[in-house]
Amino acid sequence: MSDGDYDYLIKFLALGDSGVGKTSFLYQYTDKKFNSKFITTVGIDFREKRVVYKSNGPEGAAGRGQRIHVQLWDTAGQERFRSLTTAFFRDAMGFLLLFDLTNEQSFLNVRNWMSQLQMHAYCENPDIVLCGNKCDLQEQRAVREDEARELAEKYGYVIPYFETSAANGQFVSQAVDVLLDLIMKRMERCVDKSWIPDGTVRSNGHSGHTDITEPKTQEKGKCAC
Amino acid sequence: MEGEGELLDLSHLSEAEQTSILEVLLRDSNLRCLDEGRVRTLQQKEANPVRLRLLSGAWFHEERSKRYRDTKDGVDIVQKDWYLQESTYSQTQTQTQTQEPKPRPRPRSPDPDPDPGAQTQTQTQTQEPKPTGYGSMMSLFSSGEFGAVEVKGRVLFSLDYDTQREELQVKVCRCEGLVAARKNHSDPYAKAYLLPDKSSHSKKKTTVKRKTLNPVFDQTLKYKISVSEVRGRTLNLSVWHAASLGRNLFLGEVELELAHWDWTHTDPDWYKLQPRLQCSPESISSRGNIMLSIKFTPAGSEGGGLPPSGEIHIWLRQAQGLLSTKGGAIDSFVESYVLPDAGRSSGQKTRVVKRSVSPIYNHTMVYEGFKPADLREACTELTVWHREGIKTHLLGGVRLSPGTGLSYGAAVCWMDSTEEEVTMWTSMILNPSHWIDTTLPIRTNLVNRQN
Repeated sequence: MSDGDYDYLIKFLALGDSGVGKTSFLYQYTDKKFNSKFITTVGIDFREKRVVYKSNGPEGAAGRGQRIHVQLWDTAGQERFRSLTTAFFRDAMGFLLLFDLTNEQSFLNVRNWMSQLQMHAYCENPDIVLCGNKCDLQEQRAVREDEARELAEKYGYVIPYFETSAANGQFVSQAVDVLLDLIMKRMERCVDKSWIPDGTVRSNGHSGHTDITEPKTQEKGKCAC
Repeated sequence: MEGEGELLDLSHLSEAEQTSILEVLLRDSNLRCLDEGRVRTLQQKEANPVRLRLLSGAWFHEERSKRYRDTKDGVDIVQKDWYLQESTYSQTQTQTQTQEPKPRPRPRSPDPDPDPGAQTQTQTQTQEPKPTGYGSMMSLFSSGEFGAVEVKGRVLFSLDYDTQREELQVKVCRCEGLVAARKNHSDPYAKAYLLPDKSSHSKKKTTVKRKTLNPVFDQTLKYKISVSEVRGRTLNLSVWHAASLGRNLFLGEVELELAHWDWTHTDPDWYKLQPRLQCSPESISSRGNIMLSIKFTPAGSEGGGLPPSGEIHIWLRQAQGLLSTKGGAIDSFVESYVLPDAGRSSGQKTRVVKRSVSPIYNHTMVYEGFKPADLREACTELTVWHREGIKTHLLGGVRLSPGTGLSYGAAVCWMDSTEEEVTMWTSMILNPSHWIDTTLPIRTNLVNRQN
């Protein structure tokens, strides 16, 4: 993976309270593995993955897959690293905002993380996917799904919400795929439409109870390029 | 934070934490360089400008620049704090050089014993650079790998050559509009080198002016150097902030090639301060740095017919930023050859230094039997190896040579030196019996030579 043989370099950043599972989430995404031992992230770290973004526009199945090199920044949730991690916000094209479904405080802090993002990201309305992690720990759940959805919808534009599990992989890749799709679409809005085919990221076709398709209302405020 | 590149203060973190973060930044820098290479190729191949904007990521930078005037990536802000600091190494270097340590000359065909127990280490009493905070990793940034620094201001100075005294005079008048390294002020001083010589002979500094962004120096830095010599040099005049804890910050520099200088022009001129070099194509394939000194001692130059033949001395000090592909420190050693002699007996090795990102080898290799003319046909090749159990992996290396592609009339693949490597080798030839110091990026793109 150490060659420049890809079409796009896309940078994402995972943020959220300490212990919600950002590192595990990304490790699950890149390596499909889970380690239950808690090792707090020192400041920042990142992982990489090569994916193919398949177009399904007018060219149909003959459309060439775009090779994407994804750089996934992992930020420390701990307060002492805050000045360092926020400095990296403006480098990311998209964000994975995580909270822990078994920890109500981490959910309440989503509000604060959102304002940090709006302040420090590359624009006021960056692409975000909200993830309620640790959904495998059903007995310890402290946040209701409808509460989380309500929060995701109150920002004036729709933020996709997923209930994920870094432990068993549930909806992890879907969440990232949706974020990737949002970025590719945003790129499209910034430039001449005729050159970017409409596309969706291949998913496993799991319908589930979450909405994997693109957000209905694109009221994000036009990309003013 | 909008629009301003504020310096981040990470001194509240432990050294281990800072090192860990630095390693991450190093990996990120490698990825950036890789991508910059890809974009450069793309810029030549992609005809459609719209598509180019997308593929290159320019769409993102353009969008971001609406919010942040300063379009540097977030990582650079962090790095600026570290990057701006003059390396601890170069400060201690001053002390080692004046002592002019003399390593024991070694026979040209050493006992090829790779056992770390065999102490081929010399007795040089090098002042080991004592890292303060993240000082030990700092030199890593001094080769300019991590992006341009936002520098401001200009410097007023003049040059004069006194033919009677055989002296170059660099008259540093003042600076205007410097960057504030601390809240609203800096404590600047100016430093000069006559490149390619980066030794203490070449380094000269003004005094420090306290609390000002417009320091008035009115000091002359004097160099005893012949007219012909000075024409082969490049004046590097840099401005630094003298921090109280000894970690100085880089504020900008100016470089002048003296080959084309008009010596009748002795009036002072203003020069805009420049940031350090951008990530160069070479650093895409670099795996850290290697710090070494090299010297050529001509036959008979030490008196009494000694040495019997010309000798090349390579004082291999340290490598920096050696990380395994998985991250983390490795066991490493360095091997040397002076090509075209690639026979087994001509290879010399340091001992293995265990588990270190920045191993200090402090090993001198000596090769004898060289006439000055031979130096133009030869290449000193230093390769850095990762030792894992019984296996060794080549990390990369450097080749110091005239870079002509020819050796004794035959075309060879190992005369593939970079400009910096050629400069170092040439400097060695032009300054017999003088140590030439340098820090070079370890290249992974050495052209493979058949053994």
